[in-house]
Amino acid sequence: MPIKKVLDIDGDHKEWNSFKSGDWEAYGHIYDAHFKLLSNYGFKFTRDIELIEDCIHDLFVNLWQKRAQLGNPPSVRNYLYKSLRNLIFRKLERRQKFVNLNDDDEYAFHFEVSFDTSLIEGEAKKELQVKLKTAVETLSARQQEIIYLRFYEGLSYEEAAEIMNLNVSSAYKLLYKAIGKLQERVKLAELIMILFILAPEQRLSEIN
Amino acid sequence: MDFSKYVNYTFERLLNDDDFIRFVIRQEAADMYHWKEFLIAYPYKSKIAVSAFETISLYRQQGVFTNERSQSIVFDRIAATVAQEKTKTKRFNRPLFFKAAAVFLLAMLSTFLYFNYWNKQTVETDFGNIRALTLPDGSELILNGNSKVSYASNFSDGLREVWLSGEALFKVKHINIDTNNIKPEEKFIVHCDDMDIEVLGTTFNVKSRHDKTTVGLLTGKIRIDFNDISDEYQQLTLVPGDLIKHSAKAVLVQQRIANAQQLTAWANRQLMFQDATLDEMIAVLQDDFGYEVVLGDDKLKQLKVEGEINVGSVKELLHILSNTLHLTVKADNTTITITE
Repeated sequence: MPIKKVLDIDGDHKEWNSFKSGDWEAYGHIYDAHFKLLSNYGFKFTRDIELIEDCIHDLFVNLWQKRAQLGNPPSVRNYLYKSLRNLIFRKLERRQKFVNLNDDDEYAFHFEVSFDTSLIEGEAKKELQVKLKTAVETLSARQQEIIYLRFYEGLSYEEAAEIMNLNVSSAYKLLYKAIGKLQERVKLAELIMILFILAPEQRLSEIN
Repeated sequence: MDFSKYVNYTFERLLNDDDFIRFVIRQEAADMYHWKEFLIAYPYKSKIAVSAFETISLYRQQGVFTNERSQSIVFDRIAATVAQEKTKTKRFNRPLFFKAAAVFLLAMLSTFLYFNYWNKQTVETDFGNIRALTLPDGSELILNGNSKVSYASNFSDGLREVWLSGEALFKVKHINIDTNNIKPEEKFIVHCDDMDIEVLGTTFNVKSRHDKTTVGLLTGKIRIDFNDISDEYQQLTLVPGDLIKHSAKAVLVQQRIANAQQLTAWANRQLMFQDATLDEMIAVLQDDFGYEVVLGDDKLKQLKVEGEINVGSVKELLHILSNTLHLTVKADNTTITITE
């Protein structure tokens, strides 16, 4: 199951304001509430754990040092996601210039989700996830990211656009294209599977 | 939630619907009840909605990376950095004085702890991950996969010391001009589990794994301090081209580097072997890349590939193994299985 927590928005804002006025404890709470989420998000862009930690470090140091000039974001989590994303990109780009050990690596933007088959029951569903995984991998990094923000993080178009530095209509187009591509590859195979998996159950319930 | 409106939705439209997505994510009891009713009411028309539901659900079955074990360490780093920066800003604000005093005390504590306990920098690589880094004195090192190097942050102030486990290629900067007269502050020392390497402006490769350390000197001059098989303290100075292999249980082996390129090929992401046994190649796959290697028969370990292998990826290496040794090689992201 995802590590989702429905964050308490009101409590969030009180803590944010306390932190802005210099409350170190509130700052620590904000850190604790978001560290795991940020690590998980960062891990989609790079497997370099140290780089992710460095970015989280830089993010929070900046946050503290510039706290007097910060506004009131509607969602602290989204604000942190966006900032982390920018930091990760900058660090990855800089590294690309410094050392070019592997010509295969493209530090042009990379986004990767790792699927977990262990919780899925039934061979048919496991196979379906494999098909889904293959389909997702045919998408561009940006498409994969917006799918992730929509379906995993549960964000709206506006929120996803804000985090990814897109305007909302670009976000619509991006997601529309991504879903179109997914649908081509997944739907037909899947419908057949669903018919096999669920049909027997439904007939039973119809009898009852 | 009323699902009947979804009866005529296409798959795509469903995946774009905020309410539907929110429903699949939360799967609240009340909604699930209505959902099941919806499936019963429209057994065939609901199939598309079902496939949309399944697609989103399956997508959400993901591995999660929380890095929980580093949560407090990273925060300590943050506190330390903030503490350092704090001493630069001078602003006195009377109303906030007491709050600031509390924060300042915390900062003092962090600074104290920082200089006493967290002054070390550590770089660790994952399997298959190669990192280049520059040390505070300008020396460079390339760290192979599954390796770790630590050094004090105030490196340039004095004695340069580095702790290594795994494999690294060092390019140490000259500080001293007279190599015969090395002052203590100009030394550069690499600490491995079983030996110390004293360096002076030099390029050398150290491989320290499974209680065995192999050091190959490419340019310059280094001195090795170690305990020999009778546990006596020994020193040995190497010249370019020397290769030594040390393990606690055997006599120190001293050779010449057969092929310098092969010794450091890993740093260019090349896999190079010369007349290597399957056993040697498996060791690299396990140690540097983290693969679990399963052999159909232990005897296979002694199979040798004559001549030189020089490839740029694990995939290519496995290809060669299967072709030249006539073996069946199966591999996925974590495991390699080799059978006859």
